[in-house]
Amino acid sequence: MMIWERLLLILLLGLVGTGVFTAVKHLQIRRVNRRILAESTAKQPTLLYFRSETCAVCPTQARYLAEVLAAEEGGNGRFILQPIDIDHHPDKASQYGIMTLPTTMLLDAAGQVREINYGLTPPHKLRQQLKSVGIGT
Amino acid sequence: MDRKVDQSALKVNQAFIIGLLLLSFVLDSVWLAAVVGMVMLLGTAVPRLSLFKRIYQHLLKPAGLVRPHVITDNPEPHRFAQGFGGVMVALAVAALLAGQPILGWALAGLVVVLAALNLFVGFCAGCFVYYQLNRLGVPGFTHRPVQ
Repeated sequence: MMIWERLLLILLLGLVGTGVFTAVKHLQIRRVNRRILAESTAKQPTLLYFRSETCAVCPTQARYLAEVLAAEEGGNGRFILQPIDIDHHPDKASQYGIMTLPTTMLLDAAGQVREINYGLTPPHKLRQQLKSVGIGT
Repeated sequence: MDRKVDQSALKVNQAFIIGLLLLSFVLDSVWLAAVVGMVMLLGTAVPRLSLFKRIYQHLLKPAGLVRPHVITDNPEPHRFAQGFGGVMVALAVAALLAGQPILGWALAGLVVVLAALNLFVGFCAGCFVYYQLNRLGVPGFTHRPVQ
């Protein structure tokens, strides 16, 4: 195999991998929205935070979320932060199709999933996503 | 006492591993892959000799090219993940030297995928395995996630 063929193969695999990841994420959002549509009662955007005791970086994610909550809430409770321990609520993990931890999911005021973050998500990314549902400036 | 891990050092390490393994595939260089494997295994056995992390500490961080991102975490699961990756690369090199290029590059590719999952998605497969083994009470896997 020549060098350019190998480079092309890497590029192709990279594109396919990125495409598959993006497609899986979108499919998960649609699937979760179909499942939770009937149950949604929240009138505010909600940040779901899936964690577990065996998740090494979950305490760090919790700190990041607390930082975002403190900065955006301002005492008005503009959005709800809902931690879910999947060790105690495996049904929730199944309902939301959780594949890795930590996972954070942003639901808009209508209760629809708008964003899913797999793994440790920094505060600036969370703030950017909250802006898309009208939280923050 | 708080245990600290510089996430930036880990990410630089992962970026080097991914980049050099991909380069070794493009150049069809078994020896470059072997060097990456040796660096990974040596860095696991003696962390202060981890070449890619030393490049971060002595070049990239002082030059301001990469900012430190220190969080409370256990270093042992990350060492385990690197050691596991190093063994996979060693097996890949053995397969390549034995005239099995598809198997060899597939194993190296798997290391690239797992390192990329860690670098881009924040999921450390090796750390996950470490903590599962800790949960099962396997000797040697003594650290629980820091709370």
